[in-house]
Amino acid sequence: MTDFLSVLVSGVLVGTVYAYMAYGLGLIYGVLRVVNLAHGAFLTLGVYVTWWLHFTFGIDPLVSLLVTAPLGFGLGAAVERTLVFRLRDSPPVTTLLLLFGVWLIVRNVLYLVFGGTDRSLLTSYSLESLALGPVTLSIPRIVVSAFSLLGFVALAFVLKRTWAGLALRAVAQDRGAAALSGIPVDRVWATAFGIGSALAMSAGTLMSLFYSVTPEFGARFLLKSFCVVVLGGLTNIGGILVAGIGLGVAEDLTAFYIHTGFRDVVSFLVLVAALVMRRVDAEG
Amino acid sequence: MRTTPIACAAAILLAACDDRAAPTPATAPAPVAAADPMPANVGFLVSGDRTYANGGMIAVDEANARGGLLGRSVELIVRMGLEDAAAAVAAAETMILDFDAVALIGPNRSAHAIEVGAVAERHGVPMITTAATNPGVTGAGELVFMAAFTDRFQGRVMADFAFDSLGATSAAVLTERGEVYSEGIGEFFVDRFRSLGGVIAFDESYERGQTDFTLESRSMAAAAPAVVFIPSWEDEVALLTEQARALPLLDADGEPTVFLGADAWDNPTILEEGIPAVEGSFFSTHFSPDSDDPTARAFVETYRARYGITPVGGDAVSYDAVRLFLEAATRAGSLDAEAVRREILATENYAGATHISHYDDLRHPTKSAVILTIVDGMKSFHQQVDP
Repeated sequence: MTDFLSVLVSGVLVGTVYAYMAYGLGLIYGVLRVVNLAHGAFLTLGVYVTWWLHFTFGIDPLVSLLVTAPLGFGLGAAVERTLVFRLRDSPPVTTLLLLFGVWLIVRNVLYLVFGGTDRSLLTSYSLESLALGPVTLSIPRIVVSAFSLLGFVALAFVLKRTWAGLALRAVAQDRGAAALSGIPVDRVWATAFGIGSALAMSAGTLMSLFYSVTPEFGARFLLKSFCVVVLGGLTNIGGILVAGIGLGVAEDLTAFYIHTGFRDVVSFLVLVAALVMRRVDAEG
Repeated sequence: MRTTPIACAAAILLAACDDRAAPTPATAPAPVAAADPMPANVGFLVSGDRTYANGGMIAVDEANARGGLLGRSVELIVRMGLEDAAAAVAAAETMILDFDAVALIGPNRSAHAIEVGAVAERHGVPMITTAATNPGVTGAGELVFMAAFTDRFQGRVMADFAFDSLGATSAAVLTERGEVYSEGIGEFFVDRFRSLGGVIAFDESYERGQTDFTLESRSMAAAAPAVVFIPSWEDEVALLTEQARALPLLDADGEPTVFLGADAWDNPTILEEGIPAVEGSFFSTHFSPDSDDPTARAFVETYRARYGITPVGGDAVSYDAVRLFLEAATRAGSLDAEAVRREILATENYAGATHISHYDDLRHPTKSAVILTIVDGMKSFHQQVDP
């Protein structure tokens, strides 16, 4: 029972990070109707920028969030302005392939610069754990989960309580009506892409605390992001949070009770099952 | 219809996932150019951040002090810090094509050596690997030899030690996923331990670079094994053992589970970092610097005098690999690859930093292993195991 509780809580903690990681993908799809395959590139960039800042200057990954989040916003907005915007009236698959190309370029640049070796990022608290009664929890997981939840609260505030959030939601609901109401749709698109990319890069920063740093990082976690948004609803922030936690718990229970090698299989199976068995509600 | 972009994206993503071995450029320093216009260049490949070229240099300097190789001075062309197989292959090609290397020595990682072996075969250059231990290393062809024992032997040594000497009847094995050395020796250990009547209570793998081992540790603790065999490198060993000990990790009788390792543990990092979790652990390796054997002692003393540190097993087999080639070429009286190959294969009772009885048909050496233990933060000789 103790093991079950420990694994369950541990799964909840990592699941919040999955949700945080995935929300940017859902936001961009909701506003731009674009499936952002470059999400994997931003996740990987977040991991590498964090690792580099830590390796070169000894900066703690959590402090790196101050760099990766704004950098992600800037890069994301730039990608939207320079690339995605030009294809806004093209068939969806064109944008899909374009963003896939962006991801491949980023991945191969990382291979060129850093090589293919998997790297680790260790902090003073990497090995720390906290005992709560019979349940022992990893400190990095607790910290990362707390930051993810903070990010969710901040995002919910922006979307619900600010003009920018209102504009984002308006464009997501009806681009034409939003434009007729005087909302600068082009700017909202860039903002949405920027926020989504900032979420991805900052998620990469958080996840660098317990996952290996490799150019293939994005490939692994983009699939999990798809799984979460498909399950939770593409723009439903609450649904994404629940889906992320569900995936995290399912993965950890599978790893503990069946085999650690099957952990990633869970998200593959869930994604395939979700795509086959239910109609995706793009409106969340 | 709204599922189409998601489905399309997922399909592309699934296709993209199988690309872990994408090529990367060689990032190691450029080889040192030879000063002698007609030296016999010997390529020396070092995977990762290891000191193994030191061992090779001692062998080369000894040969040059005796007049060189067939009237020519010997130059070691060293390429260090090779991060992956692609970089090792590129370095090997450069050594052969640009430096006219007469032999390749190394690399020390099996995954790299397997790829480099094909290069040596293609160019008709003899090759002797250093600390690479996977038996598949020599599969590239007749010109590829090993200086180290194989993981088949090493896995057997550690399984026998666990079962017979430690009295363990249940064991856990944790290997690095997709890594030929780690998974290979893990399989040999499992097969042998089971054949002895032991139970493998846990046999799983982790990803390279992983830092959070809480789930694996918890699963291992639930299995309560008497020993855990971790044939992995220092970074993961340090993290894994510390996280497992913190749970704690105990056997069925409530005693601390004993950690076992292999020759990848034989590097200064594990001890220098003072990891308390590995205290009382045992690991197999190529030689002990405490050996009383005269030729091993001579090597250790030379190494210490020259570099100010104590050699590890990888240094020892690197020294041996270079010497094996030089002695075989001398006996052959030629640098012809086929002649050298025949002489390496004919090696008998070689005595260097380690000893080799002979080579078998697969070009694997028949030689002893030693088991070291970690006591008070220092490694010390525990026993020698002969084939």
